[in-house]
Amino acid sequence: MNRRTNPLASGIGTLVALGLALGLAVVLLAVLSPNPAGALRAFFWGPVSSGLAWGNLLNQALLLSLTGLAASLAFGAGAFNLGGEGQTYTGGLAALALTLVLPVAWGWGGILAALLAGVMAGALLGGLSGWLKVRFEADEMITTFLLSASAVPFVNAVMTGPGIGAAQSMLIQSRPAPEAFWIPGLLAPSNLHVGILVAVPIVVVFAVLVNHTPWGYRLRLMGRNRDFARYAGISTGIYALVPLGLSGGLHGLAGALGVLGTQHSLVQGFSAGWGWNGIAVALIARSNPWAVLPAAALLAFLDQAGRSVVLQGQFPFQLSALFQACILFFITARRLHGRPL
Amino acid sequence: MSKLLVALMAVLILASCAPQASTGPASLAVFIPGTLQGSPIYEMLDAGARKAVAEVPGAIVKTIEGGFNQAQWGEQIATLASSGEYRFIVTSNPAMPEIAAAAAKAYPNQKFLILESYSDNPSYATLAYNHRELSYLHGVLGGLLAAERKAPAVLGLIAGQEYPDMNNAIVPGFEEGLKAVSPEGKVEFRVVGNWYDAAKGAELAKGLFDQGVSVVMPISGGANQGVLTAAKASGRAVLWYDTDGYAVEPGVVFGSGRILQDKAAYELVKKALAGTLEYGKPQMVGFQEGYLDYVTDSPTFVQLVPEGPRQKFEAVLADFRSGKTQLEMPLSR
Amino acid sequence: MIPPLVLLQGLTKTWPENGVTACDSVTLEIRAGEVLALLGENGAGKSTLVGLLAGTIRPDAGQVVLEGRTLGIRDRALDCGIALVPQHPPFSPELALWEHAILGDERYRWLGPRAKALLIQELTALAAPWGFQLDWNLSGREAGPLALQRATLTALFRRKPRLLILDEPTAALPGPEAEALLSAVSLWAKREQTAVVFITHKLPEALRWADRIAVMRSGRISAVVTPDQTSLEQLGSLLFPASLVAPLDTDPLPPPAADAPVVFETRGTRADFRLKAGEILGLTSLRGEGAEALEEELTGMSPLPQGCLHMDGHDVTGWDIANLRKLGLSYVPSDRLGRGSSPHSQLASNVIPYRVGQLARRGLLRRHSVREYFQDLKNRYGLAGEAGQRLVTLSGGNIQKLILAREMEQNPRVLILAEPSWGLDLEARRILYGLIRASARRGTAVVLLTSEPLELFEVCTQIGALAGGQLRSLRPASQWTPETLGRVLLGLDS
Repeated sequence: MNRRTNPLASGIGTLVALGLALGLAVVLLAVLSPNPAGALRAFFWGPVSSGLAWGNLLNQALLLSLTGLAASLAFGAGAFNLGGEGQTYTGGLAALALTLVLPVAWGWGGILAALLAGVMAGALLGGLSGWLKVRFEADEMITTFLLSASAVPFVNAVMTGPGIGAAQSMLIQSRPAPEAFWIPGLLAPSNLHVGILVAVPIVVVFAVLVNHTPWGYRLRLMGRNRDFARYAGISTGIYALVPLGLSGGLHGLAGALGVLGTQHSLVQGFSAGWGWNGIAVALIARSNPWAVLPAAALLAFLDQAGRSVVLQGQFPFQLSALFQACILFFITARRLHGRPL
Repeated sequence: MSKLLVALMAVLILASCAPQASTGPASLAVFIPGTLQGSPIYEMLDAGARKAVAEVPGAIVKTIEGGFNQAQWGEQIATLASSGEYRFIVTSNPAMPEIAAAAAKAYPNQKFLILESYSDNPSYATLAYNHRELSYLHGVLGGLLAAERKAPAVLGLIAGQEYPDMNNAIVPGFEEGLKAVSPEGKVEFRVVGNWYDAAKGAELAKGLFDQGVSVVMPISGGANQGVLTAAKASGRAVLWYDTDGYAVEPGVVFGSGRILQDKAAYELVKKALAGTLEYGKPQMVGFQEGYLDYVTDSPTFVQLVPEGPRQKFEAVLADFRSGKTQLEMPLSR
Repeated sequence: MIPPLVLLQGLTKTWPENGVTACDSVTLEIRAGEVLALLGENGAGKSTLVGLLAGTIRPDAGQVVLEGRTLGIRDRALDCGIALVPQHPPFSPELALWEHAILGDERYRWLGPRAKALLIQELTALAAPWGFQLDWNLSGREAGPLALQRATLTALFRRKPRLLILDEPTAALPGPEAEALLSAVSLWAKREQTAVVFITHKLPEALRWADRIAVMRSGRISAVVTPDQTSLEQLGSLLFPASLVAPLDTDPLPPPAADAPVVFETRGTRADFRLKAGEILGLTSLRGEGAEALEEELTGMSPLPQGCLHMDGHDVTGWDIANLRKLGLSYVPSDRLGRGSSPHSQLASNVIPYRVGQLARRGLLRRHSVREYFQDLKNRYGLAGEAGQRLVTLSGGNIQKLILAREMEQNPRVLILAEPSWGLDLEARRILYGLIRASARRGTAVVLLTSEPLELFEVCTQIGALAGGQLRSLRPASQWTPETLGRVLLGLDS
């Protein structure tokens, strides 16, 4: 067995890449920060230094698990869902809009309905790309991205518009959802809440579905070799559409959870980066749902670490994105010295 | 090689696990909801705070930029508050009281100095500016300039977003000032949707100019630049809201208001450091108190605005400065 | 004796992927001023030999000596004077012909308008003596394959080659153009005292234009003759010798009953046949003459251009492979790794696509049941490898066995195999043919599509020969000999 085919070896390869990435982070911090020791402390200790920090870290890890799972599902089936940003955002809008019209007496039922609305909104966006692919052979890499890019300004317009916009707020945001539909928080005032914990069972369920059922087998075959899948009689139409719909739906769920659990209203740009980071998680996890949870935790840690460094005044704001990009670059590398990682 | 890196990593992680120092000299965090670059109002905040800190031996100040994502500011404030490292968090933005509320609740010992806002939350010391007075004066000057150019009495106002102070104070104030000069005057209000899109700002400005508007006032952060470009191309006048903007685009900016944010920040921080600051008691300040002003001694102003309108304007301004004329700033909660 | 222009000495190449020795210590002389025709059936090693000559393939042993100088690894063949015009010259629909002419030419780093004009002038001047009228500004798509071939040729002449190799240059050319081309290269070789090697299937062409004809079989040069020493018939038998048909399994298949139903038939298509259960129909053609298209059409991967297809009495014209499989069709494709398997998946994953539903218990696919299934298959068909192994790690022959096992395990009504023994050695072929016969004995109707005529005599009960895209003759296997088959394939008879 060569390195490419041995899962253990490829896991070690990921760790090597991670080591290099962290090494680069250390170098960047040391060189660019006015206080390297403080910066390093902020980087490694910041994300876990308090209940608040833990809450934010967990919340982000779980959110990224959802979007990472969403991206993994699509990639695993050989489809490219680049529309995570728009699907998440639209899911948030759908959830919030529903809470504004449901009778308050619904309570938890209302929360579930709103979450479902978020899922449907995302699934529709994703599924639309899937349908375009089946019907017109439209490249889903482009359609998911374009649909998402046009969904964002649409949501921006709707969320501040009549009926939904919060005229009394100094922020660009929608009216808040009725308190009956607020998902209880955890480790206040962090972003964590009870609802996001559902990410764990969802990831586990999909991991089982993808790896241990006939449906999952066919999905993975589509991702491995589409020609073979077709030759073997697998319906390439359904297995193109369903993964994209599911992927969109999971993104939408993440958006809905973010709205109902953290801010309780739709704040402009609240989900910025969730979609793209989800793709990063999927890349680190090599599209395997089992690896999504650790990969999301890792990425969340890196993200929080970067923010912690900036927040402690140890790093210029503009460079945090560069910093993250460098780390991602290493982590998603597949070759080192020409040998596969 | 990779083993070495991992070992290095381990050492660093262990070394950085030292507990935080929680006592020490007074320290201040200046939180910028946006970036310093290109935001004079925040630069003034920072400058004023630092000046006050420099006068107190041993006091430390850290400036933290929060970026443009409003949804993240709350989290960032909470993290700053939770660290317990800063005795005071200084910031400026009408939305800040709302955003910091959760953090204030969770960390009752944290004090916040929030400029440009009005709140009676006992954790906050807030200072609001009388935007109505300021925009009224702009309206007066705008009206005078439009009349001078024989243009219709329509002024344009391009805002980054709509928010209560904008809708309830700035826009009406602007129109009132205009009507004081030309009773039939009107204000055309446009919204960019964010605080950085210069292209959109230019587009909106051009639209107004095509309609016949000759004077426009942008309050849209980074998008102001786009408005300037469009105005320069069309030969129209721009009123610069809250800082001296004559040099930003010579020949285009005809009038500049001034919010003395640096003075306000300096005084607030000085009081806070001395322990004499009162919390939970919001303040409203305007021309009379000396925190709002209009820049009339600039040679550009003198050059661009003809004598007649200039004198009329300065008379109105003097009334405000002396307190003879006062306008009430509507408070929207 | 004058030393030859090019000397191939002991060239050997074995492909690691499947262990096949494509060129086995080939030694050949090419003389200045001559035109050499290279003949051989598919898989004989012509393309490999040509690749070794042109430097696109590195030999395991042996060397190429050009005008006394041995070419080393670092020598670029084109720079040294060996030019190859492939059968399908690489082209980009977007690039203009003049851009094709300088593809890969490292001397061009910046091409201003003046340099471009000079280039086009030069190319036009080069093309003129050949009678090529080319608009060098046309894009690849606009120009068409004929113009592309001419452009490629002209571009090669800029490099002043000493040896010109043409791979099936007249395959797509109508008569007069083919004549013109071969006549032109022939004159060029004589005039410049260079040499031309061309690969062809068209025996008359070889006889007319070549000074010498080399015949390749199984990686070796089996004969080198001059046209006056030989004839069409003799060439035919050199290519398809009767002596090589030594049956590996002498158990004859029982013929189906006369009133047995027709399981698989086509009507009005390029190859009409009626196949009963237990029969093995072999359809063959030379490369590009029709057998490849049949693979797509008979299996539902592409629609039938005309006519209809019937299976077990149902009209299945236009049915997709998924539905055909449900009716009992199994298919071993020619593209093993691209279509017939998932190369980076495990062996176990590769054998279960039709069984996943059955192997699952309460919706879950247990790993051990999959492994057990694979083990069972392995034991019964003699497969290699472990369940968890990646498919790419197997040899070509073993991959093919696995695919065959998977398809046959379905106990199909109709089994279609396309190029099943490509790249397999003798032993693997023996096993393959045994499995095919076993399948037929169980009542499967088998269609074997191949461009290796000899394997038809191993297994088939009926043999059909296509030429020019159409079935020319269909007879029971006993009524064919390799020579008669060869003649039909070459278009000499019908």
